[in-house]
Amino acid sequence: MPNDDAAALLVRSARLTILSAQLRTTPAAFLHLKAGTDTWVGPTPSRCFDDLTHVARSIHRAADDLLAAAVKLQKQAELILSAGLCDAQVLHR
Amino acid sequence: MSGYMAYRPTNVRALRDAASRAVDVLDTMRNADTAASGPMSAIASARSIVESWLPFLDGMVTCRAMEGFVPVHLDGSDVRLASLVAMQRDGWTLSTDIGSPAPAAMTGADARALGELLANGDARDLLDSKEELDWLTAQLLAIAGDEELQAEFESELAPGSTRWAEVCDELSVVRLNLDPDDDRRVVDQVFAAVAQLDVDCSWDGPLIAAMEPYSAALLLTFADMTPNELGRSAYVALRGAWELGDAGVLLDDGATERAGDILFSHLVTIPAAATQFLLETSWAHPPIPFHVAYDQELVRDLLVVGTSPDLIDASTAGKIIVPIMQWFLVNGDDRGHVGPGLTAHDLAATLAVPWLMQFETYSAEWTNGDEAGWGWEHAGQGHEALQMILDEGAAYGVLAQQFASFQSAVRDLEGLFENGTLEPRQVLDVADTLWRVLLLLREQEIDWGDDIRFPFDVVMQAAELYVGTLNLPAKVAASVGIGTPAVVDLLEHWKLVPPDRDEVRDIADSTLAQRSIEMTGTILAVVLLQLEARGLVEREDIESFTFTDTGGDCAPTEALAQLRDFVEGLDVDPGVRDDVLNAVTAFMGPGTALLLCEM
Repeated sequence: MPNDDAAALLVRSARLTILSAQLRTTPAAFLHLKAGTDTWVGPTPSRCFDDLTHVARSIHRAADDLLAAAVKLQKQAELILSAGLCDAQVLHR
Repeated sequence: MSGYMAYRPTNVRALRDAASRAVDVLDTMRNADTAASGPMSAIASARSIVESWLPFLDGMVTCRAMEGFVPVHLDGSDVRLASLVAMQRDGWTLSTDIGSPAPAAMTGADARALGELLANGDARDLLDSKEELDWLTAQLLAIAGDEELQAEFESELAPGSTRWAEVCDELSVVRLNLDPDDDRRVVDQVFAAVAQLDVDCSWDGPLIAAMEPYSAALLLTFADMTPNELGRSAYVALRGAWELGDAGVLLDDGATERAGDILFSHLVTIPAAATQFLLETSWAHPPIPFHVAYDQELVRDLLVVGTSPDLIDASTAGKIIVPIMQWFLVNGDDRGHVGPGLTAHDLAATLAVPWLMQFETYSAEWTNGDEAGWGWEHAGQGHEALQMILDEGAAYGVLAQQFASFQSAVRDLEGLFENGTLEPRQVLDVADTLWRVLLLLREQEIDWGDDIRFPFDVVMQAAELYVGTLNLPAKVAASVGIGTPAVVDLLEHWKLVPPDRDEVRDIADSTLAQRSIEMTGTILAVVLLQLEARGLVEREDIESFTFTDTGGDCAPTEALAQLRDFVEGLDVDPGVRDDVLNAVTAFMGPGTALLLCEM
């Protein structure tokens, strides 16, 4: 049973890690680079650039949060696995 | 950049495509894990933001005219749009933009674009609204405060470019069309900002000579220069005004604020610059200061400040004053269109009073000057100049009034003391000059009396001719003819007869006597106050004296006796007392007093 729980946590952790990596390379994370003064200037372009810069920051922050959550899940799984190992040693004695 | 947008269509199209794809990709990112709820919410929000721009980006490649984004082509006439115009030239597309203005931090490209527009645009169109002028001031100040921005700006418009002359002249035109009491400040701020860009204001550079004197005056008012540089550049600017006509090209003859008015207001606050300006003009064109300003009080202030004995020595003053006086001797008051008030003679009198010694007793100091060739042509030319000044009524008033205050004597009296005691030679020299001027004043007053009398005499002669034609009985003609005592008595009773020569002379002599008493009293006061400053006499002793009108026949003799009694009663060292008595005697001795009474 403990091994099943740990396995489930590791799967969730892996999915979050993959999603985090996908986010870091998603086109939305780089849109602001195409909306700078090489493309357009003016009040509205400036507002658009600000919005897309905000989007890029949000995405990177979300990727960081996902990765942190994945690491947390992985540690929980490791704890479970190490606790199961201890119980088995006690029984063996 | 408010109100306009510039864009590259191909780049906008690429942005539109990328945004669309970004939304699609974000749509594919799903994760129902509770641990991912926060990040997934942020992703949804980001997607929504990107998606919200899609309609606008789609419209950019079609047409958004109905929403306030109308395609435009700028003609470069608004200086605030310098960057956009440069982009338009580079192939960008422009449209109006109803979005709110973006906060503008100037970039190197902005600075370069502004330089290019000022260098090549139509200056008149560029600077035709107060908003543009305010904006331009802010931009130029930002450029002046940043070395990199300034370098970018100067790559398009160099500090020594004569294009600045055109820009400044257009600023002047704008300024002249604004309300003198208020709005002109907007243009002055631009001139101040231009000056901060280290625009070449040097006297030997091309710019000051190339621009209108009015513009040069405004620019120099704000330029950061040494007094000597300022004085020289002011001369170059105002020489232009003088050569172009009294007011320059931008102004009409009746203009009340001219290049001279602007620059003189500035120069009087920097005496060394005023002196340098006067040195330059006197050396080359002495009449310049008298032609280029409307406000003659300003001209007077310039002369007073620039030739003050407190600031310059006699040699420097001579280099300024002698050429001006020589010009006056030849040309008189021929000054074209200047404002009312002080005449050229008044101004010459103002110039002369502090340096009377060099016009009279010390005229040799200013005669056959140094190797530069300035100076009185002969020892008596200073005296001739004073006579010329006194020839004109108001100037006489200026000289007489200022003379009464003995400003020059008071200044020179500091030099009367040598090693703590009065220097007899100096005392006599001052007395000599003051007496010469007093006598000049008297002569002038007598001449004027004759002038006043002359027209009356002509009338009398004409009347005599007329009376001669009347068929009067011989007895009547003999008793009441023209010039007979009965007629003259009646005319005098009616106050129709000007004073005759004898009466004029009496008045002038009486005035001379009174002036001599005032002069001697003033000299004594100054000497005593200087002795007090040296701790040699007490103030209460000085103030214990008052003149008493005894009603005697000879006021000078009476006054002299009272002064001598007062000095002899002073509680001072006997040597000091003798010095003071000698000073009094130098200005009015017993013989002089008697002569005054017998005149």
